[in-house]
Amino acid sequence: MKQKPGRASRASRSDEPRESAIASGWRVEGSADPAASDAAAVDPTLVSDAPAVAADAADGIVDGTGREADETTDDAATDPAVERQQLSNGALVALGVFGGLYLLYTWGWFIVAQAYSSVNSVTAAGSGAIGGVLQQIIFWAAPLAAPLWFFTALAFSKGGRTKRLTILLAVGAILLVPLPMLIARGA
Amino acid sequence: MAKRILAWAAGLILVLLYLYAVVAGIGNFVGVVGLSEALSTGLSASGRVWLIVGVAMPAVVLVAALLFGRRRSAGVRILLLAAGVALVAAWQIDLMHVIPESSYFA
Repeated sequence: MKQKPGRASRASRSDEPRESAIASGWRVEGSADPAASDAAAVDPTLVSDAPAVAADAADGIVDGTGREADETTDDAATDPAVERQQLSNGALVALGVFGGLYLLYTWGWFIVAQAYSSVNSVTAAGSGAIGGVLQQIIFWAAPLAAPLWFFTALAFSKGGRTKRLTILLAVGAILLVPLPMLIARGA
Repeated sequence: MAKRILAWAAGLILVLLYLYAVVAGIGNFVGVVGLSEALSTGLSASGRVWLIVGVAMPAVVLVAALLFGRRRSAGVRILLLAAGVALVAAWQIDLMHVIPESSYFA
């Protein structure tokens, strides 16, 4: 690994214990990526005791160089602005899993609404001019239920409230099951 | 100011949809009762319950949406009201599909 000449002695001294101590951790990934060792200024091994360089490392976290760097620069990378921008792991998993499920629900409700659209237009035809329009609007709101619930859950869990986000999305996943897709008519 | 008027207009239109859903539920109730009298069977107990659910559900969802939207921004409240309307729509289709029409009559 390249070292800056001015800090070579200190860095090499601090480098030796690290090689053995963190062998099972992020070190593997760092050495697997040659570009990272070239960019010595952003290398997480050098920044743990240098706050000025730690800011560079924090910038590196933002553009996706990984959580490993976040862990190694433990006390240095606590820039609150960076922390607030990141989604927690749990939030990412919740959004991914439930996002896929809600997409399926949207598709399911759209198919159901399409299947019942002729029934609904008969109902709308018997509801007067204004009532017919309102009936059609309400009926075709059904496919929007899943995405609207999703975005409402997001709006209600701003600021990293992952637990609340997960609960809201799970409740919605139960309430919005497209039953007509799963149960035979009148069963 | 224009933003405020727009938000109120959107909110009122959404509340109108809830009110229409309640009125449609009442109309459903009256219509099915008339039909059951024409068939001289009367309503079944479960049929009565489901008809009442059809009337009450939009009102309950509206009240819940208004309660949860307290002290929130206008955008979130409108989003909540819209999600509630969509929820009512989905449940109405659920009711129509899952509960057989014949079970409304005794």
